[in-house]
Amino acid sequence: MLSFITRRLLYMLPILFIVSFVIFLLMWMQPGDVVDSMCGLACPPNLREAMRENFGLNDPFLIQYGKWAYGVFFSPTLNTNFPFLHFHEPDFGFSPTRSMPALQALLGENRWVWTILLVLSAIVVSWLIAIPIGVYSATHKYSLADNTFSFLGFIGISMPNFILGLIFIWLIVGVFKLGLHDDFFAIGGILNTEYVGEPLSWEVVLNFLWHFGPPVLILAGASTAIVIRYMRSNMLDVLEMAYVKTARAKGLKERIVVYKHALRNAINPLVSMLGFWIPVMMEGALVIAIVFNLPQLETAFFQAIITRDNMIVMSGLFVFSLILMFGNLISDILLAMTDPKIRYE
Amino acid sequence: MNKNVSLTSEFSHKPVSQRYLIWKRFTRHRLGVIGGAIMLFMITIFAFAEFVAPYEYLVPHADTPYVPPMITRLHWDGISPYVYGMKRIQATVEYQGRVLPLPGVFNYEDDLDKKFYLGLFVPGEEYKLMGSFKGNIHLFGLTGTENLTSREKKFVKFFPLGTDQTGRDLFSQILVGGRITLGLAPMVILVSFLVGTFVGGFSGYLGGGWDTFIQRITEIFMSLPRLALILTISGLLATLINVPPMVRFWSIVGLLSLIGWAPLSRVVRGQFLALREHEFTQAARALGASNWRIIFRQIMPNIMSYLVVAATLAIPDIIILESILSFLGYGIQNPLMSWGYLLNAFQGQGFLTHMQFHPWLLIPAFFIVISVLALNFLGDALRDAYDPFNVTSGAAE
Amino acid sequence: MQKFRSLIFLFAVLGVVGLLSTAALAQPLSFIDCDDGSDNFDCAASTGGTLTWDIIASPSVLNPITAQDTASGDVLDHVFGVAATASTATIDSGIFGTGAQGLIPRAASVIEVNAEGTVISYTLRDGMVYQDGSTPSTDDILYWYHDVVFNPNLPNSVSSVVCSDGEPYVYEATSATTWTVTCSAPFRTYTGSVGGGVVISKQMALDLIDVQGIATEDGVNGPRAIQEFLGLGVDISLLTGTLGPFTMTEFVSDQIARYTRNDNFYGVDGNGNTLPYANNLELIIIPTNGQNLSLSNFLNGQTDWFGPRPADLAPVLSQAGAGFLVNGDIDNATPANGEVFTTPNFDDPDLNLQAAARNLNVRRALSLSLDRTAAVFNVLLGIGTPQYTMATLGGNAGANFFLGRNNTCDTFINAGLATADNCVGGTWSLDSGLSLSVNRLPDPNSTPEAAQHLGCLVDYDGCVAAAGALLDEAGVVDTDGDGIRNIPANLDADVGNPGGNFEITIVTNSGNTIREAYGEVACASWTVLNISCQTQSKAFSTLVQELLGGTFSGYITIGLTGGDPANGVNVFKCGAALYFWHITCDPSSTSGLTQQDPSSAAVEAGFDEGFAATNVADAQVGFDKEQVAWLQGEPFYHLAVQNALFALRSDRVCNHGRSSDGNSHLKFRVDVAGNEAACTTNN
Repeated sequence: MLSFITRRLLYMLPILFIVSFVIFLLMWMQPGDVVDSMCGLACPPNLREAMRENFGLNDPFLIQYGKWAYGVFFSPTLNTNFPFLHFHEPDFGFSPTRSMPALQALLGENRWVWTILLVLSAIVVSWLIAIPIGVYSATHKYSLADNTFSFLGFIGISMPNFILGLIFIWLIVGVFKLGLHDDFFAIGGILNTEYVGEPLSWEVVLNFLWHFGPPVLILAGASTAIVIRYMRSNMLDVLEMAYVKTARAKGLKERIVVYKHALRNAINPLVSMLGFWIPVMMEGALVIAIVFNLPQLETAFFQAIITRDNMIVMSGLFVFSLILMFGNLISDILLAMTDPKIRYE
Repeated sequence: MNKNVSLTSEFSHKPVSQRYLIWKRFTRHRLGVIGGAIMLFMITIFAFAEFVAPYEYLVPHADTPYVPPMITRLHWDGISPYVYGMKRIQATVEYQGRVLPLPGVFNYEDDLDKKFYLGLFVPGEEYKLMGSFKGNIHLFGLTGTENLTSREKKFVKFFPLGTDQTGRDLFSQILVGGRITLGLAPMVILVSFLVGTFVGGFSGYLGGGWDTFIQRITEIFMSLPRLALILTISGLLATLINVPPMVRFWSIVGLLSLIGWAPLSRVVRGQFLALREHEFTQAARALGASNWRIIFRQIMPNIMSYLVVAATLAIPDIIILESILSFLGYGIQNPLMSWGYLLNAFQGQGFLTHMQFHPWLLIPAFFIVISVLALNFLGDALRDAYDPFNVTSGAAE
Repeated sequence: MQKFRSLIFLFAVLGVVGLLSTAALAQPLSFIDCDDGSDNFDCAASTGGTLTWDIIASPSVLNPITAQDTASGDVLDHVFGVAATASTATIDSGIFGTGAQGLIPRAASVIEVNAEGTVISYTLRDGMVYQDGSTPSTDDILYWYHDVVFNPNLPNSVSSVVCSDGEPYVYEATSATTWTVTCSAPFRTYTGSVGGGVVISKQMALDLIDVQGIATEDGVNGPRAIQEFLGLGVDISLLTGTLGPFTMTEFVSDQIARYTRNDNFYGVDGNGNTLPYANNLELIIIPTNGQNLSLSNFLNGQTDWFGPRPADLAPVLSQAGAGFLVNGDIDNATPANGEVFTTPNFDDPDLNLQAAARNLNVRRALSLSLDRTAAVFNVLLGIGTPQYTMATLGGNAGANFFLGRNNTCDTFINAGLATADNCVGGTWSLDSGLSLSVNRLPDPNSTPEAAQHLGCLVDYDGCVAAAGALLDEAGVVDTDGDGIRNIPANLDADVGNPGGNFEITIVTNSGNTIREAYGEVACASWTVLNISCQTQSKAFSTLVQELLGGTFSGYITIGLTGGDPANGVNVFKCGAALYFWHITCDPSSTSGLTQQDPSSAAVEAGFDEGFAATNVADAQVGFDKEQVAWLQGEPFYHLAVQNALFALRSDRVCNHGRSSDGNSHLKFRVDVAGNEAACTTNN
């Protein structure tokens, strides 16, 4: 197992390199450069030239790529001291519109924390809701509840989450006007302003839940529907299998039969899909974060696209690719762990 | 999904073709049939959008912005429907003893002096059906408006679903937008499936070094984040000089195909790999059949059911993806129309005003949900019809 | 199942607890409530509390010199005090004619302008200290001006500190606390630095430079050092040498900036209350595209002040209740903010469009057929004024020249353009709900063109017909029967265009939804004339590139709303550089636009005459000439002027005043001691 993991990790490296090349190529084709953003409109021509030199904008393409990639991959430098190869912090370039290193603009101020929290919570919540419902649907096939859940599931898959988000915001602000009655129920952002920077307290936590909860639930929505369907069909498959019949024949209580044997086996495929869910959630999180204005990676990325800040866009693409690859990796590992029949070349 | 389909009990008399079986299985899914009917209906009216729409979708009726849906204001004289002309009144609010206008909020009242009947096949503004056929008959419209002055004509209109900020008819916009939204998805499927099948088949059938090389490229494509990548490239497109709208449309198709072909090629390759060693392929080879023959006669039909399954899963996904892109402002834009773009009004300025005072502008969302729902039902039924034993579904996605 | 049950129970408990505790936890802001229920907010000026508002855009730097965007300016204005700012309230009694009129003292306490308007003298206010306790002096001011503003190694906006002839200001210190700023030509009131510059500690600058290793005299620096100089990553605690009414205590980029009053800036008012009256400020930073959030912040009570766009006004008014004050100018506000115009490209690489732009008939036709009323009605939702010519000079100082105009209802009634019913008290309504202020329109009796344009307000269809006739006369007709007019070959013999369909693309910088909507109105108007038209949005940096490189093709819709790239700036090309709008261009200089039309000389002459005037009456004469010449030449098409709007919670905020530059952020009205602000409804 360990060798398998190591092999996959090493395998990721060349892919990462090529991905970084593709990303750089993509952004290099954009018109407009960092000097325009920084220096502004009435930039004196000699200053403009000097800045172009400084930023290496007159270098050939491969050299520009080389410099950027060098910074991204930890700037390895040779050294006469042991261990001869030193690494620095990754340097994704400097963002002119935010006047800070691009990676910091993307990940800073705890954006990465909120992003991970949002995605993981959505996955966990969707499972918490979907698994019991899926099991119930499977064991009570074709009942009214089953058909209702199935129909709701269809609706859940069909409704884009940004529409759900819009409707939710409308209900809160337009219809119920919650915020007007009570400051606590403000919409948008992570916390009410009076709580920003405050030490942790019960009020702060609750306020945070209010701001954060609805996006999590909405994000979990579509995937909950999908997980319910898979859970249901997996359970149905498993319930038919021989060993369950054997367990029944042995006289064990129905309940134990279902939940102990069937559940465990039915969850296996879901577990292996976990790694796949992460990038799917990130994509949904992109839209939700924009609608709810949460301080996430994705909003910083979207801002950068609007303001044409290429450095942040490149960093964002790279980070997202990294997450994608890790998601696939985790998925493969979990699959290998849970199903010994599967082997990978 | 009902796993235990027993064919012999129902169709025991005569030998039936594969197609007949599929059709029978399909029609048993009531929801699927309903979904199919809905899609058929939608496609028909969108194909004839300019004819069905009472007005041209881009024309702003500047004097009548934010008209609420007029369907609710249809009156009936026996079986003939009629509407009244409009009187536009600025909504006001009393505020600190003064009466202030509420900007952008209007109350439209019936002008009882002007009564006009709604007719079928009414002559109206000229249009070009699908860009080619000239005509000026609209499916429905107001009759008896010839003698009005031009000023009066501005307030005698029938907007079934209301108007937006510049007075454009929402129903017409939805019709044309539907044509683009629903037309885009099959294009994307076509392109990405062609590319994916070709690449995957090539890779799987040939094997060896080519296979590895192509697989590595596929892996790279699959390592790039979908939505983020499309946003980036679309942003790039936005900067090009004078992009004509059709070019923009095809570039969106291209973009969406870019992310669609890779996973498909993977699976197709797997199918090819498996089937390559299958008995009937070996048998065909032993009989001396050429490669192409083997591919078309033996392998492709087996792939077909998978492709159908994948297509039914992908089309709703593409529609939602395009809606998200256009909603964010990076997909279809002026002068083209799409349902997501109609919702773009809710991204940015005036969002809460629209929610409170002009909620009918959310109707395109309803259309998105309905069409995706219908497609999902349809897809479900089709999947069951093609593949009742769940052999190929159950794959992630 | 046990686990699931307990989980559900936990969620339920949390939900109930959450609901119960909200009532107890709501905390009001701590301003003293001076609303006694009547319309009269007259009360002793209250002090204390925290004023909260938000901005929609991310600041990019914390450097007051390089801050070109509105967001950075908003963040910095309270911290980096300038010597003085221009004032709308006082300028109409004469510009720089007699004493301190036109400028409000901030860090300077006394300001004097000489008779010719070419030298301004400032005196530093007594008793101010920097955050670190040191005393400001003219040393600091000169250092900043000579070593930072004009340092070639630091990116900056030099253009805002030059005189009208392009030469830099001349700063001279006459003592440790007095200095002069001199220009060879009279000062233009809209230039940013007429206020005498930022007052910042030289020592702090040197320390910051040391910390970041920037050489100032010579030597090349790493780009990072340049960018980081007072960039967003700077440590707030290093900003010990700022001097302003407030000091920054916290800055979390993209979230919030917090300020505490600097008691040493203004001192106290006559009642012993420290100025400004608020103890703290809180500025919530909402990244771009966050208008919804800003509005809901205000409606929820998270912010005390809000700058609505026209579309945001309805929710605010409809939920106004007891506590909101929307500026009383809503129905005939001083259009102090934002003038929008569409311009053809006289150097369009597409020769047909170039020829069309240079043809007077075509320009007139396009201008006449622009449905400006629809633009104001649909885009600005009625809160604005249609414009036919240039009206403002940029900034409020110039705008006020037109406030005292003579265009009353009588003028229009006599010209047959209005009736006594729809023109009342100087305000002219199109229908019962909409009012247009006539303050900014040229005298309709001055020229036939003026009368025709004003007539378009009443009879738009007639204008469209006239426009069509003009096009026909110029030979721009549909020759191939495809429904689109054709530009004939050699329409302009100098250009030598090949001829072809008349197809226009109107470009706006993306993200500015109001300008994009303007573009659509223009396109709709021109489509009626059978001209093919489409709109397009482009990123700002792309526009810059194209304009710089001379590859831009099409018409551009832009406006005069300040330097925030996200909101659009006024970009014109002249020679090899881009520049803010100015109506003439000498390609050898770096200002202005290439102007090919012969009437431009008359426009420019009127402009100069108005600007050189030293009193309002003469200025009006000059600008009248300019407007009239404009109407005859139509180099650009003005669309509308947007009114400045704001709303605030009057149940919380007692000391409110619109900022002196009329811009959209709130400043406390701070008067020189002896003239303390009272709590009134109308600022």
